[in-house]
Amino acid sequence: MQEERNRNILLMVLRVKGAAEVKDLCTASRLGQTECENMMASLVSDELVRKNDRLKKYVLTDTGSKTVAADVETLRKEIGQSELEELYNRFMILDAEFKHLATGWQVRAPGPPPLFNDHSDPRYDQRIINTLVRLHHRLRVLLETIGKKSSRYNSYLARFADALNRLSDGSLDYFTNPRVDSYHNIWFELHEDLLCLLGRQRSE
Amino acid sequence: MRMVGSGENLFPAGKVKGLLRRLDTPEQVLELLDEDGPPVVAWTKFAGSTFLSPVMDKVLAIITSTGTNKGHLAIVARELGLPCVLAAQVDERASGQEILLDCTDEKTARIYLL
Repeated sequence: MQEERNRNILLMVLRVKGAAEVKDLCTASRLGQTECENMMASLVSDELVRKNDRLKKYVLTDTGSKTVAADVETLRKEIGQSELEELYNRFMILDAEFKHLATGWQVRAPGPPPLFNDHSDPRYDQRIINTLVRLHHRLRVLLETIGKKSSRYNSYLARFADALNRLSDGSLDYFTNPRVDSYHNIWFELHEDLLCLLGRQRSE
Repeated sequence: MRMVGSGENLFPAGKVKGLLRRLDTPEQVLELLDEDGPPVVAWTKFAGSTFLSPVMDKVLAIITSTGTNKGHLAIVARELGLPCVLAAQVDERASGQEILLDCTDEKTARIYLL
């Protein structure tokens, strides 16, 4: 059961990211490195995943892509399209607020030219972090609802909580920096995951 | 130089020269990652594609046919200081050609064929 769940998580991470190194897969799946490497070796052996040795990145094979599509289709049927639409609509309300907040984190005045936030005003940053904390609580309620349908979504909740903790502890990169598992990175991936579950393309 | 496209400039970012290359699928992203070719300006239809993330450190700039200045791509481009053109209209024939991307104007970015 647990192995199946981890397998589903890793396949979906690759579906969302397109390509990923082991360290990214560990972060996204919350698995330890050895367990993650063993799982990836098994997925390669099953021809669901292949490794580009030069790039040290894993990608889905055609069979792997079809497997993900079939798993998603099964979950979509289990939840039901109307309930999914309702969950997605709730997410999109949060999404608009989150993007507005993330943009405010980066830009203090839109301009043109934009006035970038140089993070020299801790009160400005703290106001944004406080708003993010409130948004996080609302997202948590939504993710817990989806998590009851598929435990795969609980890994997002753990990643969001980790990013928020690091941000609150002063690691400012954990809001929007794409080079770490930042709150925005995770949000971006969750959004893609939900669109996949709905069977939709992103509109922008 | 002939202008072959324009779009919303995310932020003033000077000028860059490079090969205009379509990146609309994860496979195209992997191909680019896997080669040591000339510097590339990425051109994508999908501003919200998570599969673009691995290549963002490798390209000179990114041009997208969609997107808004509060969208996911804009947030990532701002963070990386990567020149970014949103809602761009570009002549399809420019794909694969050497271009000059002029992001000096505060509002509008312009794309020229070299």
